Amino acid sequence: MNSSKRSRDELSELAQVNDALRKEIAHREMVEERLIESEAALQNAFDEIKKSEAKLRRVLDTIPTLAWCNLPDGPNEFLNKGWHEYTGLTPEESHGWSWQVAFHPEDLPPLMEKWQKMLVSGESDEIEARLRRHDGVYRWFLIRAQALRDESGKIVNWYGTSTDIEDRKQAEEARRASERKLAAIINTIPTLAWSAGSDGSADFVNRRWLEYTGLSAEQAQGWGWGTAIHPDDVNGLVKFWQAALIAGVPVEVEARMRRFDGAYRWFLFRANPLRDESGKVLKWYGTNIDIEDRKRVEEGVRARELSWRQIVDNIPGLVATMGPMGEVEFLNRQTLEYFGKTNDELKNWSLIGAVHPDDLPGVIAARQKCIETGQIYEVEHRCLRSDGVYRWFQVRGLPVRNEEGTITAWYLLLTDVDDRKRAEQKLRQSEADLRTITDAIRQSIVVLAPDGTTLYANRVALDNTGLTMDEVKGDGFFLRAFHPDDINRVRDERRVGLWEGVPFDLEVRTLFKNGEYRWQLLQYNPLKDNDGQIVRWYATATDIDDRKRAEARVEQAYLRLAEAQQLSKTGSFITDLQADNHDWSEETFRIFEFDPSTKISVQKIRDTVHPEDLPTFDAVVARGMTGSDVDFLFRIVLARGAMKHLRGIARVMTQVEGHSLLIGAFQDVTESKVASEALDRARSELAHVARLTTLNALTASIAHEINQPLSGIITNAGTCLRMLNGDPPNVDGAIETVRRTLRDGNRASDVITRLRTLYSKKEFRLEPLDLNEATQEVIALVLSDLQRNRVVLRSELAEDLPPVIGDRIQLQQVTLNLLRNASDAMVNVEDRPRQLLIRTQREADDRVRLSVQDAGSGVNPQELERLFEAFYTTKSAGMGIGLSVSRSIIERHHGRLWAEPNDGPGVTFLFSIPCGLERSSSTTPL
Amino acid sequence: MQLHPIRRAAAERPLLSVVDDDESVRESLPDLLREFGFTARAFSSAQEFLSSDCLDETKCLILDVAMPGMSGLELQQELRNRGKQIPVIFITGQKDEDIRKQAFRQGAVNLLCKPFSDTALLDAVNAALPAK
Repeated sequence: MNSSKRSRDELSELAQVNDALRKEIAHREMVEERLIESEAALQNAFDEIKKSEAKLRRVLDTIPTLAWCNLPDGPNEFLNKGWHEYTGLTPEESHGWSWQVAFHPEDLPPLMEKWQKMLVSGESDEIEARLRRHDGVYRWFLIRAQALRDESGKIVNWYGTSTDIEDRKQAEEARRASERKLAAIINTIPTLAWSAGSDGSADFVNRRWLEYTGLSAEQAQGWGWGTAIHPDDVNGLVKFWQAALIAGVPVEVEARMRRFDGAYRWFLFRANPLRDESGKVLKWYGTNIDIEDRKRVEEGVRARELSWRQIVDNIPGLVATMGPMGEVEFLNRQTLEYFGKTNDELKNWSLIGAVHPDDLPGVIAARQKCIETGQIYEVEHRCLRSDGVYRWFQVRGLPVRNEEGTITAWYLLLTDVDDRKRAEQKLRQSEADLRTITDAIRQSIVVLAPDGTTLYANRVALDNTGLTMDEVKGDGFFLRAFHPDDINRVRDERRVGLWEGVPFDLEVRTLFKNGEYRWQLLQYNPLKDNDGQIVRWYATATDIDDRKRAEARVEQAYLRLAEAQQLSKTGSFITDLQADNHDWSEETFRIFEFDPSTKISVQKIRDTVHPEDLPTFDAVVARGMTGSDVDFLFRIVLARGAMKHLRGIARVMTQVEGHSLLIGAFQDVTESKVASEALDRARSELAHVARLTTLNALTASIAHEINQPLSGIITNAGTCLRMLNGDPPNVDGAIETVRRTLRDGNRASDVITRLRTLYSKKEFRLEPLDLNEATQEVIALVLSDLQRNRVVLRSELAEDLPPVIGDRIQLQQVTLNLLRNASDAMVNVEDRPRQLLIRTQREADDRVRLSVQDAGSGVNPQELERLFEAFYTTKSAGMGIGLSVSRSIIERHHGRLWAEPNDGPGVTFLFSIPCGLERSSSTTPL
Repeated sequence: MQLHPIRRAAAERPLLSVVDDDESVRESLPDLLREFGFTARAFSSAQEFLSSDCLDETKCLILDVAMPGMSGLELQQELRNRGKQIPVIFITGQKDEDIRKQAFRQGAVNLLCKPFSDTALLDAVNAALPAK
């Protein structure tokens, strides 16, 4: 059976498993035991750690600083009690990253940045930041952190302390502020200041220093300041400075420093060493003071002293000073050299023969007198030169007084006049010779001393004046020789001339011995010696009486001309239009009311011309430019606004360099213009009077003219009435008479209309008109009058007559006047037909002409023109105003009215007027 | 005023001549004279009248003073020179004392100033004609 075997096998296998199991259990128990053991050990270790941690915490909590521990990645793990007490934050409030709230917001970003860097690098570091105290006050802390690593070098924790450095911080800030203040003071003091190290190199220069030199702080550092020192001074200064560094004592030195603009000024350099307790020099402090002005003054004083001494020693004169009593004090080099004596020797000048024995008494007396009186000392005497020669000197001495007026010294100038003295002697000799010559000259000659005293007059001068030589030399010479009105002027002019010392002229009336005053030209010429000193004046007299009289005449003529110009209000001028050069008389300036200094130009004149007259003015100037004579009228408007009418006339005087020189005149015709306008008005009035006169004369013909149709009317009416009253009534006849009545009534009305037109007073009125038509109206008006006088009127009116511009009524009046005159002229004609021809004609140049030709007795040709004078008449009746008025009317139309004798008997009156009233040069208002 | 014409036979109607340079007078005056019962002729100038055939027949001349050519006064003088004794009534548009005096000196019957009335004319004419 297999079962047992199987069972056995199974059992054995089971026993093996059981064994294995048992072993396994035993192993497990052992492991468990060990595990328990190790757990206990661990518990022990943990307890130990716990204990040490608590101990550490106690330590941390008790140390007098803020301590903390952070996890390797940054958040806080532990903050000590001091931290919590300082910040007032609980562990919960500062847990993790919450500790950040304790820091000043401004300091947190740099703090965090640094912290992050440390976390990455693992390096220890420190930072300053403000930490808020529990009461809200921030105080500065120095925060230090260090990493704690395990054996493998891995960071386990960050440990750190925060130390209160607020007090230190404040002390630092205070120090910085005081340094800033000091720097500000040093920079603002008006002195150049600097400091240098113990080796002498500059480590600071103040702002003044930089401003003065124009260098930058960098340029001045070290030894750079040397560039600001004058090249001539820099070596000496550096040597001096190096010596001072070795000696280590305060020093002063002067040197020139270059200003920013390149100018050098003198400075006083001062340097003081700063030593430590051991006496070692730590630093040098220095200032540079500007002494330029002082330097200059010093130099100036030195230079003046030097130059004064040099001047005194070198002037070409001998200079001496004396005490108040005349004792010699100082003698210049020239003086010593001249006499060849020493200062001391010359103190006894009067005893050693320095002055010529002949002159000595006078010199001594003069000195004595001046010392007593204080007067200016002036003596000429001879002095003995070192070589034994006497020379003439002029000695002048001035007293020097102090503030009280007491004389403290005398200054003397000794001038060598030896040459002059000799020249004078020579001159006296030569003058004696000269006299014989001057006496032979036919011109008056007078010789004068430099001061103007007459020394000599030649023969001619004496003969002319009738004076003797003594009289000429005497005091009253002026009064005797010259015209009383000239004496003062001559005396003054002569004094000035003599003083100036150059040749001069005088004009004076001199009394001749015949009692006549004649104008003389006195010419003075100085004679000078070699030194340029005037020794004589020579005066010559030339007779200029004729010239003077001519001058007076010219002047008088000029005055008369000016007066005439002023009276006539006519100013003359000479003008070169091409060169725009104008020479105006005073009156011309006065007319234009220009200042006489005004520079005249065509434009200047043109500016004053009335705008309406500018075309005329320009045309005149243009005509004058071509060298034509001109005659024109224009108005000017003065600066003060008033208007003047000027008439200008100019004609070509001469041609100069192709330019026409025009001479001409402006006449102020304002008054006559105004008068002429008044006259025009009067004429207009007169014309009206004349019309009335004419009216009276015409009343007869008017009556005739009107009565004619009236007569017809009445007759016809009467006839009509009778015809209608007839039996049977003559109706046809009556109708005919009524028709005639109407016609005659109209005729009468026409006459009245014509008369009204003719005799109404009207102002000048221009209108285009047909002269023929106007003439026919006049003819119609006078026809019956003419017929009554048995005048045969023939009219020849040109068919091609152009219209004219004019005053219809006035032209008709003229025509009427001419017709009536013609009619009147023939009253006494019995032997021939009383023929009257009225004619209109076209003329060249757009003019028309009207002529009235009578067959009367005619007028003496000499009287023809007089007919046009107002109030001239050949008639026994009438005012004779007609022709004068008629002419003024025609002239207003810019036309002409005149008379011509006929070939046969009688006269023809004509007028000619332009068709259009184009502006002519005249600006007569119409 | 006599309004009715005087009836006369043709043979009894004396010839009156009017001389005037004014046409309206020459037209109107003869008509009026005919209404008065006269025969009337009109002439424009002295020359025309003198050269007409009416010189002898004219019983009365009504004559304008101022006329071109020969004036009224001159015509009157001329007629007297020719021995013609024709009564003359002057008519004039102009009162002129000189002319009036001269006219009467020369024997004028009347001088009427224009304008004149028909009765004034008739009175003058009647005065001029020889009484019947």
